[in-house]
This record gives sequence, C-alpha cells and structure tokens, in this order.
Amino acid sequence: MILIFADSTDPWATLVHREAQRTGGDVMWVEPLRLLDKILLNWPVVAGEAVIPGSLDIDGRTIPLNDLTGMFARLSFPLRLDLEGLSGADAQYVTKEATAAWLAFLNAMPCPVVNRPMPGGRPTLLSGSPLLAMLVRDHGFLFPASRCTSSQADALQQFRAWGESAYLKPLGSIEPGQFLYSHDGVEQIRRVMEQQAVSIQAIPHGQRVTVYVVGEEVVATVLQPSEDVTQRIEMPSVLSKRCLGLVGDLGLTFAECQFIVTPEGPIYCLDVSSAPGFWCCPQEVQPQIVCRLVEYLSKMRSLSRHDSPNGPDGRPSARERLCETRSPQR
Amino acid sequence: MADPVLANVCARLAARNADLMLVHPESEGDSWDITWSTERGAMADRLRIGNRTILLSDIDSVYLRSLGSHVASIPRERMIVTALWEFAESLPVLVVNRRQASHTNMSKPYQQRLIAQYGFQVPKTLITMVPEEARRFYDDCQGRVIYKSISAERSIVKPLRLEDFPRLEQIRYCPVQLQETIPGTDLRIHTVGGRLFATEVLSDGADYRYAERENKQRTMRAVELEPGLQTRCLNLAKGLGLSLSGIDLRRTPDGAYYCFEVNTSPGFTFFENYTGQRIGDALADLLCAGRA
Repeated sequence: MILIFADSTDPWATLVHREAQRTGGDVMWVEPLRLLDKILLNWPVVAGEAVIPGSLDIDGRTIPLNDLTGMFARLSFPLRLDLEGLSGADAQYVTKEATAAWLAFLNAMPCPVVNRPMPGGRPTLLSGSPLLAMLVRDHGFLFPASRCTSSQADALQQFRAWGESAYLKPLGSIEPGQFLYSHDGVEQIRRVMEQQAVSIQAIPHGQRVTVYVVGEEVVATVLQPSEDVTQRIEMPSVLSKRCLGLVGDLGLTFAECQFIVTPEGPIYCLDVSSAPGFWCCPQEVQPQIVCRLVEYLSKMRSLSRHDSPNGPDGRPSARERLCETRSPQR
Repeated sequence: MADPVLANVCARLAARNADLMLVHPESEGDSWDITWSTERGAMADRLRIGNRTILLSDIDSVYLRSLGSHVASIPRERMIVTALWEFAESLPVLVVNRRQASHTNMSKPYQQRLIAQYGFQVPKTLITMVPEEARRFYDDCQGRVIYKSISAERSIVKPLRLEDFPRLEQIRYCPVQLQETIPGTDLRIHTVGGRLFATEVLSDGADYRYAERENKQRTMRAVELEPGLQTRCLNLAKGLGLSLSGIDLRRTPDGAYYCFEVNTSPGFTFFENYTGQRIGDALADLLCAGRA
C-alpha cells in the first residue's frame, strides 16, 4: 500500500494518488491536519528487523506496517495539526509528541519514504555547512558566490552589485528558490524578506539546467531559457551521474536540482531542493515524474535498499555522513 | 543570567581571560540582523552580527544554548532562530553542538535507533495510540512498564499502573511512549570532547530528577567507568556528532548497560554542584582550544 500525507491542494500528491488508483494500486491519502484524527499509530520500536511489527489503524481499517510499500510524506515538521479546543500549552505538547513520533516512524520504516524528515530540519543551504560543501565538491560541482542576510538593505545592495541577477532562497526553506532579474528582483526581495532571512547567490554565466530526480533515476533534465546564452552549450555527460550521486548522498529520493553549465565546462550547483516545485515544472515533465514516483512507492523492498535507514545494502551511507556533524578541525 | 549552565560557562571562560561575545538578539531590538558571505562554498572572513563587524578568523568556537528550545511563535523570532542556526552551521569552527546533532533527542525513538548502533542495550519500547495494545504491552512486560514523553519535552518518568488503565483511552488523541522497566543503578555520563565525567545516582524513585518532589531519596557520587564503557560512551557522543553530551545509562544487576537517552544540551551544573566534577571547566577548555 502507498500512503500519502499531503494537503488536499497538493498537486504532486493529487497526481500520484490519481496515477496509483489508475494503475490499480492500493493507496490512501491522509491530510496532515487530520493525522491524529485519522490514524492510530501502533509501532513497536525495533531496529533492523526484516519484518516490521505494528500497524496503522486508518478509519477503522488496520494496516500492518509490513504491508506499506511506500510513503509520500509531504509533511512539514513540526507537524501542523488541527487541535482546536486544546489550550495553548496542551496543543504545543501534543504537537511536539506527535511530531517526535512521526519523525521517528518515517525514518524507521524500511519502505521508501519520499522524503524522510530530519530532526531539526533538512539542511537547505548547500554551502551552509563545511560537510555539505565538501559533499557538493566531492561530486564535482562548484559554488557561486553567495550572501546570507536578515537585512533587506544588505540583500538589495548585493543584488545590485551582481548586476541585478541572483538566485534567492529563504533560509530554512526546503522549496526551490527563485531566479531574480532586474524587472522584479527588488520587489521579490522585499516581499520575501518581510518575514524571512535569505540566501542570495550570484548566477554564473552559462546554461541554466533543472534536473528532477526520483529514487535512483534522473527523470528529466530541463534546459531553461537564458538571455545571456547565445550559443548552444553541450550538456556534459557526467551531469546526470554526478547529480544522482549528490542527491543520494543528501539522503533524498525526490529532488529538484538547479545547475549552471558554463561554456568553459565547470558546473555550478545552486540548489538541491527536497520539495520540487510543481508549477515551475514543465507540463510534459510532470507526468513522467508522477509515473516514476508511483513506481518507486509501489514496489515491495527489503531493508537493504538504498533509501532504507541503514543505507545502501545495509551499510552506513552518506545519510550517516550527514549525521556526522562534529566540527571540522582547522 | 537566568540560565545556570550558561552562567557557569561564561564564568569559566572569563576566568581564562577568553575573548567572549554573547549573542542575544532579543536584547538588541528589532534592528538586529546578521549577514555573512560565502566564496567557493566557504564562509568569507568578514561577517556582521547585530551592529558588530567581526572577522571569522577571530572566532575559535561557538557554544549554543537554548537556541530554539521553544517553538518560535512570531515570524521575526522564527527568522532570527533560523538565521542563527544556519549561521552556526556554516562556521568552519567548533560548534557545541551543531544543528542536526542537537536535534537528535527531539524524538527519543529516533535517537534510540541511533544509540542501538553503538553497543548499548535499549529498552523494549512501544509508541502507540491504541489502548488495547498498551494493555498488551503491559502484560507482555509482566506489568513492569514506564511511560514518558516521546519528544524532548521534559516529563516525569512514571510507572504505568493498573489504575491508569481507564485513562489509556486518552492516548487515542496523542501517542504515548511505553517502555519496559529496567532495574538497576542510574549513571549520568557527561562527555566533553574526549573527556568523560561519570556520576552514579542512587534513588528509589522512578525518575531521580524529581526524587525530592516525590518524597524519594537520591544520592549522587562521581565514579570511574571501566575503559570499555568509557570508549563506548565517547564513540556514541562522537557518532551522534556531539562535542558535549549527557548520556543517561542504567546498569542492571547482571552488568548490562542500557542507554535511555543522550541529552544534547545537558544541564550539567546539577551534577557538578553535587559531585564537584569540573564539567564546566572541561567545556571552557574545549571552547578555548577550539576543536572537538
């Protein structure tokens, strides 16, 4: 069975649900707000077992955890729950407890979980930690210059200094950022920074490329129109392989990656987002992604598969490298 | 300074004539901001925190205390907490403790699965919202079961008793964590970099932290751990990415060691004040040395 956790308006979830039903799959959809009303979780916490004991009781139907083939978890953490009627303190307590339970549960299940949550939030800046930066470099990508700031004046000044062209992303956001240009950049920076600090990155000269990854496969590579590219730039054959390696090492099974391929050859990595945008994704690519997601979430897998918490073939993986958060020595 | 742990660390750093900068955005008003740049994926040398411009090369280490310990309710508060976490994460210096490591105990079952990889026993555990399953677990454990919070929310560990059964219906609205009761002696192990301080706690209460409140006894004393156990504790802290940790162990009568939790921002003064162990000094030394 595929289990979907998503708001009713989530376009990816809507299409995945429809495709799973169309292909005769067993699929259920639970809205995050109703998580505590709809599901009774019963999970004995054991590690490394081939058969997972426990069950989910959804609307009176008992589903053994072992029957889950995949979970499409479009949840934000801490969970947003409908806790009307509870006092502020009680609501906060229930939110923390439910968040802690579901975070552990989604990380413990051996079936594919797209994408597994991380305690404290998934790192969103690739240059945001020495360890992540090393991972990106290990896969052969470069970083453009960037600036992180909570000051609107500073962001605007930097945007102008880069010739009014930049990639903007709110700090802590798992969604893709946006490319800013002179006609709307100032306005967008002001709007986003009303409530958020941001990272802005310089956009190197070259071909913008968006790569969509599902599971262990590049589903689509989209060349974006760029005003400053007058001649066709050959796509390096290594891009897909390097991109897959990076996405896998980041512990992601569904990702949207933004690259700039320069005429000289080096490739800059601007972003790897764990919540690919739907509306900016070309219409002809959307069905390919959805089909691949359904395939990926449908197959029975063993504990030793790539996205198991134990890593590829049961070995500690780069997921653990990300856990290795001790400070590097200078 | 209201936080005794922070006060302890600041005092020990002051005693070492350390150049100390306290970052406390709330006290600096709405104009407080933070800015840093990166070049080729590494932080550039000049950065701004509040109204101060400082050099990255002047920062040897960072100690984070109570950052985001409560859910930020207003957008500006959320923005500051997020920016500070990202900033600390970006620093190529010792950070006690980094974000992901700090958050492993926001979910005890999440952390428990990590702990089990480091050679410690972990108690049989059930997370459930089904009263019948809770009763079955109680029976399976011959009635020796405790309940406690799943999250890092502080809760008093209590034994589950038959008279609690009518209240079990409430778990249909919020999951509960049940664990088999492990008999034995409590040990709190503080690791500070490569150093280790072990405290043995004797108490007749289910949760020694609240012994006085429950009219129970509690005594604590510094003890020396066997070398193999020391190594396991240090490996656990290092594996979780923690330069400072408080590991909760229980030694059973047959000599097995169970690990319940690793506190990622331990309130070590409670133990230091009782036993005289120099945990704050060790932390100050670590911060001055600037490496984990």
